[in-house]
Amino acid sequence: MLKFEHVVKGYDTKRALDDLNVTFESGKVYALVGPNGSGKSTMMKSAAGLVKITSGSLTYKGMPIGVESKKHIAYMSTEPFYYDYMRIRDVKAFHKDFFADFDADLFDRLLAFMELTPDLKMRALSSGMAAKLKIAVTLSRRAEVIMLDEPLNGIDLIGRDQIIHTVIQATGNGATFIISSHLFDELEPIVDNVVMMKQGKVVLEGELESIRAQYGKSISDLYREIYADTAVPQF
Amino acid sequence: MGNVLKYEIKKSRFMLLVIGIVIGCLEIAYLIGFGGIKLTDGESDFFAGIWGTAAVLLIIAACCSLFVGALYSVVLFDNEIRKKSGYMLFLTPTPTWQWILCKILMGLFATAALVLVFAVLGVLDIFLVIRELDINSFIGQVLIPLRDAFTENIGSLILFLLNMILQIVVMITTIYLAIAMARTLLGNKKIGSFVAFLFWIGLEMLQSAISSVISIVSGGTFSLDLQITENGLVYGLDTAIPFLMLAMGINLVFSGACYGATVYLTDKKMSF
Repeated sequence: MLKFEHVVKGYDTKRALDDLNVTFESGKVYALVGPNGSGKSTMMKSAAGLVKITSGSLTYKGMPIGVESKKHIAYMSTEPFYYDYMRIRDVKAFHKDFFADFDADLFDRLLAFMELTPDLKMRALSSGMAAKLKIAVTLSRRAEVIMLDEPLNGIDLIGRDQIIHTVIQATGNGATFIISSHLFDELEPIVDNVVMMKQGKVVLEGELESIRAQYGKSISDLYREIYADTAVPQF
Repeated sequence: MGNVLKYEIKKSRFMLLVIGIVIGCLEIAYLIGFGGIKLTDGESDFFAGIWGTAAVLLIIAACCSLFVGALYSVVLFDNEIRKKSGYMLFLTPTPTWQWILCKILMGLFATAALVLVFAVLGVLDIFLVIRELDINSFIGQVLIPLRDAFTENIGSLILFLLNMILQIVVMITTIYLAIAMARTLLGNKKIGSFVAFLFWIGLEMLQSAISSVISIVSGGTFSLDLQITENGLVYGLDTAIPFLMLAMGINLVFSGACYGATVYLTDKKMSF
């Protein structure tokens, strides 16, 4: 469905994606894990059409990433990116204008749940409020693929609960979810599959339960093992 | 395309408001100065100073208005590809050719609006002054010969104005291409405006060289000169329709090529 075949994305001498091969199947919830710089965001941005790959093949339902795929793929970046002049109600109008799958009623409900009001200006939002808004906007699209890049970054505990609760509800509608995070423990209850990345490559992927059974370890322990060399040195 | 254009206009509201306020303030200063001169029978240096300064600033602003819209269009493009807010647009299923075209159109709309505002204000302000002069001699010596020179060459004049609009489009598209080249051909780095400026100078030189060659080959030109004679002002309008048509053709092809290259680089090579 969403297929990366030998995908390379190079920046000068560094490769953010290095011969990446992975396929995301319909209707599943994927946890995309790995430390900073492992290529998670670049991979998501490539699928969203923001980053142009250097070589390889990246397709959605057999078609290259472009105008058509953007109609079906929703992406939430780590950074807030709404125009400064907008209020929340303008963000809603913008998405209604551009995306046929945007559900304005669902957006209103999510906004109320996130305790945000439509008249708030973008400039006036705290980082936590901006993160909640991004989630509400992205999940209000009835997209076939929904990619959330570090949805829990910079959010306090109460905000995290709200976001995780919202994501859990949204995952029931048949869409494919790809959620990246450093914090695997918080994603574990909601995901079906795990994709672990390191230095632009997939180092481990599969169904959560199969991986646990195969390796006889929890995903968190496997994570620590795989990324041991990137751990913070002890002083 | 309508949606993209709608949001371009929304983004530009603040800029248009600021320009409107500046023009409004200058016009008010012009009227205050003019009214003061009339009330004091031309005895007040203070009002004469206000009137003169406002008139000069309005003329400068009118000349700059031809470029303000174009430059603003460039700022819109640059902001979009440089800032994270560009994600809003790039995540939408809008073809690259469409949103870039909308930004060019926005520049043209802004330029057209400013030219229209200055044309209306210019006519009103000039007639305000003419009323105080010897109208018959002013019209006889200045306006009638100008009108005759233009009406005798109305075809050339229209072509000249169309070519001017095309030159604004050339300016916008060459700057767009320069920015896109700076962002993509040099490894997609955010290397600032300097390299883009150098690319732009290169593209402008290329366009000027092509135009010059055509001008020399065709022997054509378009110019308006003014001579003061015993019979009043005499306007010399040197026109050559084939030259203007050729110049328009070159501008059209050149801006089309720059636009096409910008769309290609942005769509296929540029990462955000």
